[in-house]
Amino acid sequence: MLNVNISKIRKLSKKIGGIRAVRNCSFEIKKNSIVAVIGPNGAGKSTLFNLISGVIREDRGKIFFKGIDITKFNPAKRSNLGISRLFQRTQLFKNLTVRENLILAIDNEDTKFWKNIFGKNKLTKEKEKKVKEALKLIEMGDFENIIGRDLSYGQIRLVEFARTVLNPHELLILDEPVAGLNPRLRNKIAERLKRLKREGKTILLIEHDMDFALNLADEVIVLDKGFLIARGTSSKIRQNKKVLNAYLGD
Amino acid sequence: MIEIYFLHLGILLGIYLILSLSLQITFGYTGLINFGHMAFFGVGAYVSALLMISGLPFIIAISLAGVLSALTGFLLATLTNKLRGDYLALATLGFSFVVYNIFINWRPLTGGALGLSGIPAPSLLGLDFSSSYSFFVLIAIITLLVYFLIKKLVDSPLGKVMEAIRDNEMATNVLGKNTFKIKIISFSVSAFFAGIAGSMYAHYITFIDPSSFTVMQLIPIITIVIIGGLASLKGTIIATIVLVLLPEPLRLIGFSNSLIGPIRHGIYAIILLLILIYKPKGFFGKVELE
Repeated sequence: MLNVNISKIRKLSKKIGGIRAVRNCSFEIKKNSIVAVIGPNGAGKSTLFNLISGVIREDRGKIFFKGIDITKFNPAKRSNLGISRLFQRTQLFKNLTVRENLILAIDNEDTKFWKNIFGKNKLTKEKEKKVKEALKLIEMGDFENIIGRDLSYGQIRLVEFARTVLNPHELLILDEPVAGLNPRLRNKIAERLKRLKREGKTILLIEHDMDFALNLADEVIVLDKGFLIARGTSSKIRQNKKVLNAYLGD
Repeated sequence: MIEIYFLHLGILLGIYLILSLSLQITFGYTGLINFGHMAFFGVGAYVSALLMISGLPFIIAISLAGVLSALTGFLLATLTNKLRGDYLALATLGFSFVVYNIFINWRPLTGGALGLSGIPAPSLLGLDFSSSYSFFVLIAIITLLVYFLIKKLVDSPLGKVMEAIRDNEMATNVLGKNTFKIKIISFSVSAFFAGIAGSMYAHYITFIDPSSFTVMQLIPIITIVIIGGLASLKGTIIATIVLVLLPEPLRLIGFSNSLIGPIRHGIYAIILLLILIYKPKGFFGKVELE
C-alpha cells in the first residue's frame, strides 16, 4: 500500500435540521486502500459521504482530493475529478433500461450537443465491452433491456453498484453496497472491490455487515454522534473499548 | 371550398405538431414543467413578422425567429436553473406573463393590443407560398423536418441524459454530467422549434396580436403532450391529430364560431382531467406524471 493520501478531510462540520450530523471530522484517505466507515444509525456516515461527494455543502471545514481543494466544487466537477458515489437510497433512472443506466456512467460524450445531433457519438466496442462486463459482474445479462422501475430492490442496488463502478473514478464512495444481497453476490462484490484496489483504486465504504466491512478494510473509521471516535486497522478497532461501547457491543 | 377547409386544418395540424413535439423536449424528456412555451411561440411570430414587414426575405425571418426564440429559451433556462417542479412551473408561467406584457406594451414595435397586420406570405427560392395549397406543402415539409430533428435528438445519447435528468437530476449530476448545460440545451432547442412554429403561424394568419400567445393557448398543447404520453413522439402525433380535429364536428352541428372556442377548451379540460385520473401515463407514454 502506498503511503500517499488521495483525500484529506479537515475539520468538517455539518448541521442537519438542528442536529450536528458531522462534527469537526478530520482524517486522510490513503491512496489504493479500502477504508470502512462504521458507526451506529444516525452517526453521520451518510452525511459525511454526501459532503465528500458534494451532494450537500459543509457548514465548516475543507475537503481535498488529489491535492485540490474541492470544497466548493459541485458533484459533477468532483465526479469528473475521479469521485464516484453509490447512495444508500436508490437513485436509479427508473424510466431508462438497465443498459441505458450503465451507458450513462461511462463518459460525458453524451452531453455534447453537435456530436450527438450529427450522430458522431457512437457506442464503441470498448464501451460495449464495459457494459457487458458490468452486466456479467452483477449477473444481470438477461435484464439489460428491462426498465428500471420493473426491477426488484436487490436488482436496483446491483445496477447502481455497476453504474458507480463504471463511472470513471479513482475514489469509490460506497454507501451500503451489499445491503439486501445474497451471500454469493456479496462475495462477488467483495472480490470485485479487492480487484479494484489491486488496480490502484481507493474505496471508502459504509457497511453495517461488520464481517464484510472489517474483513475487507485496510483501515476503519468509527463515527458516533457525528464525532470521529476511533480509527485504525480492523483488529485494533475490534478491541477498541470506545467502539465496543458505542457500536460493536459485546 | 371544402378543399380549402381541409388544407386549413392540415396547416393548423402542422403548427400544433411543431408546438407539441417541441414541448415534449422540455416537458416530456427533460422533466421540466414549462409553461413558457407560448412565449417562445410569440417571440418567433413577432420576430418573423417584423422582419418580413421590414423587407427581409422569409428564410432570414424564419431563421432569426428560431434563433431569437432559442435565446429566449436560454434566458429562461438560466434564470430558472435552480428550480424544479411547482417552483419551475410558476417561474415559467411568470415568464410567459412578462413576455405577453412586452407584446402588449412595446407598442412602437409590436403594435400593442392592436397587433401587427399585413404580414406577408412566405416566399422561398422564387416560390410563392400565399395559396393554402402551397402553404400546406411548406408546413408539411417543415413539420417533417422538425419531427426528424427532434427524434434524432431524443434518440441520441444526449436524449438519454435529458431523460436521466427527468428521472433524477442529482444522480445525473453525480455521474459527472453538467445538468445546467443540458437543461439550457433542452429549453433552447424546444424554444427554437416553437419559434419556427410562431413564424409559420404569423405568415399563415397574416395578423398577430398578444392574445394568440397567452397561457390559455397553451392548454391544448399541454393536453396533447399529456394525452399522447410524456416522452412519446408517436403519442404526440396521434394526440395532436385527434385533438385538433375533435372539435371540428361542432361546426357541422351548427355551433357559432364564438361558442366553438370556449367549448373546445372545455373539451380539452375534461379530457385532460380524465387522463390525469385514469391514465397518468397518457396513451403512449412511458413516464408517469408525478
